[in-house]
Amino acid sequence: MAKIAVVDFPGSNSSAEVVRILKNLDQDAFLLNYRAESAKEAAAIIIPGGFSFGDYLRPGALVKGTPVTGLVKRYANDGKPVLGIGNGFQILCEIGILPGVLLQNPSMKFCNEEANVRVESHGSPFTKYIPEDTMMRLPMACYYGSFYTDKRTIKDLEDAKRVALRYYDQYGEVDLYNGFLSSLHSLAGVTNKEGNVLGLMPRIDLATDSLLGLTDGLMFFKSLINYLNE
Amino acid sequence: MKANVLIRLNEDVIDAAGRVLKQRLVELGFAEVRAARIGKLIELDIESADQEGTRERISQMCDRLLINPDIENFTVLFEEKK
Repeated sequence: MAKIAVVDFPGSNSSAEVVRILKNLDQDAFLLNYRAESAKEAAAIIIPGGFSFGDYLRPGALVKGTPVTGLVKRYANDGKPVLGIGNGFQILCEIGILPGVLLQNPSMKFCNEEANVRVESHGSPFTKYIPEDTMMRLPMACYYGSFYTDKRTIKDLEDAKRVALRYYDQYGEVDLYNGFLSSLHSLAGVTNKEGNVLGLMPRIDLATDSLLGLTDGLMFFKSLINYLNE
Repeated sequence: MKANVLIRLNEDVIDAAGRVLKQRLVELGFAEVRAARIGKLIELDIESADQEGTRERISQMCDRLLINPDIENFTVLFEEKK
């Protein structure tokens, strides 16, 4: 059975949580220390949310050059599934696997709202088995959640259908303001060219248990597990 | 030698914190403030006497870690010996 590695940096705050979620879905998963240079037999890597290395300098920046980032790059280049959630998304941008950067929310507020998010691309292992046009309710937990890149890059991302998730308002229209974030093109998640790497800002790991209210985050983990069992 | 790395946000990047700062300065009576942008200052103490070589090394530090060129640029300022 395929295993999934969940990266643990100093300051990651949901690595153990993601392992627990996967195990609850009968999926073998283990914590991968940031000093690790190999992920043993892992078929996929997940970089969880939190504040890696205190988010000093810039969110996600201080992980650069750690052994595990070399490993993540190899997985990404080899076409294996790599997922970054929240801080994990910021890390994937900082180490150059995904385009753009996550800026401080223009509202200057920590965003802890719930967001309506639609899956717009099914090319990644994490969205492949999610039904088309699925509208989800997902929690946010970020201070640096405003996606930014230059005009040419955002056009390329749109043309190549790499915007995997987008924020919508309560009326089902694209939410330009997206509850404090003002993320460019209301982008909530983006993939690499090949589609095997996905970074997303909504905290899908905080929406997996009906005891906590929201469960839509489970769809991404289930999709990955289905993909690995193909 | 001591070197200061001044990191600024690129002009096309909106500086939300700078906008709030400017607004507060105006409210405090400094109405002449037209804009404010907040950067970072990194003070480095470097074991070297070669200023040009150090400048090159700091440039490499910026490329590899200190700045994100998508949104930031940098200037190196050497401190005069006291």
